[in-house]
Amino acid sequence: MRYAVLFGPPNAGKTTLFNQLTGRRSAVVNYPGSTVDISTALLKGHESLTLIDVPGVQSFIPRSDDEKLSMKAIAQLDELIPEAHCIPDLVICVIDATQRSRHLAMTKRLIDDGYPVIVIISMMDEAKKNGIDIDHIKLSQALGVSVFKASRDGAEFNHILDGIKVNSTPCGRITKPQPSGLDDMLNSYEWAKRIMSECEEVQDLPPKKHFDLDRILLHPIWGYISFLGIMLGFFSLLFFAATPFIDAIDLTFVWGGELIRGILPAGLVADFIVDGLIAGLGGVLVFVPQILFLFIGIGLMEGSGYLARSAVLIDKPLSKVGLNGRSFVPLLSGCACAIPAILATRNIPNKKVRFLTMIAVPLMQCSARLPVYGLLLAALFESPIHGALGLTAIYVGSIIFSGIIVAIINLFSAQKSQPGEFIIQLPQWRIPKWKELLTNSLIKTSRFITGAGPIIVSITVILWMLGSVELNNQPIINQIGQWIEPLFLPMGVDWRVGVALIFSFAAREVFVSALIVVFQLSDGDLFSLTQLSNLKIESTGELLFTNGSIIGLILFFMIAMQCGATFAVLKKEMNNYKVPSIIVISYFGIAYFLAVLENQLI
Amino acid sequence: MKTLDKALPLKSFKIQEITDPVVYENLASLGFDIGANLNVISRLPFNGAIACECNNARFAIRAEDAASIIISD
Repeated sequence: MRYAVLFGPPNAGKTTLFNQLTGRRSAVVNYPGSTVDISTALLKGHESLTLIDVPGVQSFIPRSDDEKLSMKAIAQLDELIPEAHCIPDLVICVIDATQRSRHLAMTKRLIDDGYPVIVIISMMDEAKKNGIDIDHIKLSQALGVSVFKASRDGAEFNHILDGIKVNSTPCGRITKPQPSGLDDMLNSYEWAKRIMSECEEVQDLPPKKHFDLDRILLHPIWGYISFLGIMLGFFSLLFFAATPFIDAIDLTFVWGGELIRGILPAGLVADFIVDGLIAGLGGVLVFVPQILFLFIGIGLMEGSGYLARSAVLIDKPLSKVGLNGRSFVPLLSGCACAIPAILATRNIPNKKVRFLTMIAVPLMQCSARLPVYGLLLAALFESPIHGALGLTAIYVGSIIFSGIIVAIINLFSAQKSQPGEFIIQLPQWRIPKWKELLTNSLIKTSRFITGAGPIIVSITVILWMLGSVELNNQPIINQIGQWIEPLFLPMGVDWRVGVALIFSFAAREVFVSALIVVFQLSDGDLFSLTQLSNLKIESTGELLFTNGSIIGLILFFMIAMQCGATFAVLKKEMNNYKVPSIIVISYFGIAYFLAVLENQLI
Repeated sequence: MKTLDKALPLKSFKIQEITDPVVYENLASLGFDIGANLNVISRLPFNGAIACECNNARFAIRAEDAASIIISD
């Protein structure tokens, strides 16, 4: 097996090329530093060559963990992939045609050190729109390596594929790249400018009149108003645009359940399938459209280039609590899933800022919590407008709360976090490719379904068994419930909600299906969202879902519900289990205290 | 002597000197060097970040870091 590494500056189009050359569907993001880990896949039609996509590097002076990983991929590849040699068999330097001189500079060092290199000039379509063409044959002669041109549509795909196959030969003697100094860097830029000026053809096009979005979206006043508007619009979209799809899925599950009940003979099996499995799965899957719209919204921000602008807008407020603008991207990614969000903190060079960001990420409201909020907000508000505002309040509230937590930790920390320098490249505005956006969003949504589905089914089976098997003339689940009820009564909920809460530690979305199954078992009537407001606490006869108990549950979910996978990734990235354990236990304690306090006060 | 954090938006300037070596290294890795022309696109309030354009590329820099970039008209 041979190994070729896609190497180059951030946002040069490496992941787009990786997808085109391997047929993989890694998410492409218009934000510098979106790739924080290596991805490997076989080159199309060449089963003995593995292509490796690595995070972008600005220079041979690696600052962040993701940049160090990339340097390792070209200098100590065997440490990342044990089957590989120390040096890759080919380094594919990707340079963005619109930033050609700057990006070419790093290639010089690799060629000088004797690496087997080919150069791919990406985004040629964008350069041509600006009247710029590059004579790649002339550039190839000047560099002494093969040079290929590439566009976003993959038109030159076959030439590039052949070029990789021909050039990937086991390399000879190589001097490993040493960290370069500032002078080396500046000399390389001068060299790259000179080479490029000899190889580029620049047409004098009449100046294009185009509206500069940055003048509005980074405006001292309109920038922040737009930011708030975009965020509010984003969360409203989750409620309004998803509602018809939610209703359609809900109806389908009700219709399907009735159909199966009509076919199967009445009894325990029919009850288990209809009231347990179908109702439990349906209770979560009705919220899948919201999750899809969440991924589409985040994808739009990532693909357009707005993510980097948001980071700039929010840098100042974040720096007040010890974070910085670079923390924003992991925090926003945390609204989809905490796992990639924690990995995304590798892009933050300042170790203390990275640590604080990792502490804040689990407090962001991930997609798995959406079904829970959908259920609880529907019980709290009749109007979808109020529901959308409620959801926005949850997300804004979690950002404020995480800011408070981080500020407190930073305040009592022996070594105060300095926000570090903040210099960020602003990528060009791009219209996201709709097909790519939808495909990526659908893939992420299907991962949610395939991930949650088996857990929901397993827990439904366990709950149904606990509800059906009796011990001392009483179902086991009731006995467990009575035992745990004192813990949950101060939150204003009874044992049935408590059981659902305990099972939701397996996966947060399980709360909805577990709640449905437990109520089916205890009440026997078909449970629906509209019945929530009529349910009563079994032991006291008081209303179960009051404003106080619902808000308490929301608070509990906002803070406490950290899944096992989040803990595992925190442990890996922090390289210890003590801090992640303290985080999970503390968040649980704070959440329980606030939920009880809120229920007692309202 | 004027520094970038004091620059007015929508004006063009030339980088004369970068006094902070870390900021210099960061800017150099983005391809910006002494002598380069830059346009200030926006300056965010409360001493917030400054968005600039230089060599057809855009970047944003926090005001505290921009204070180490000496510019001339």
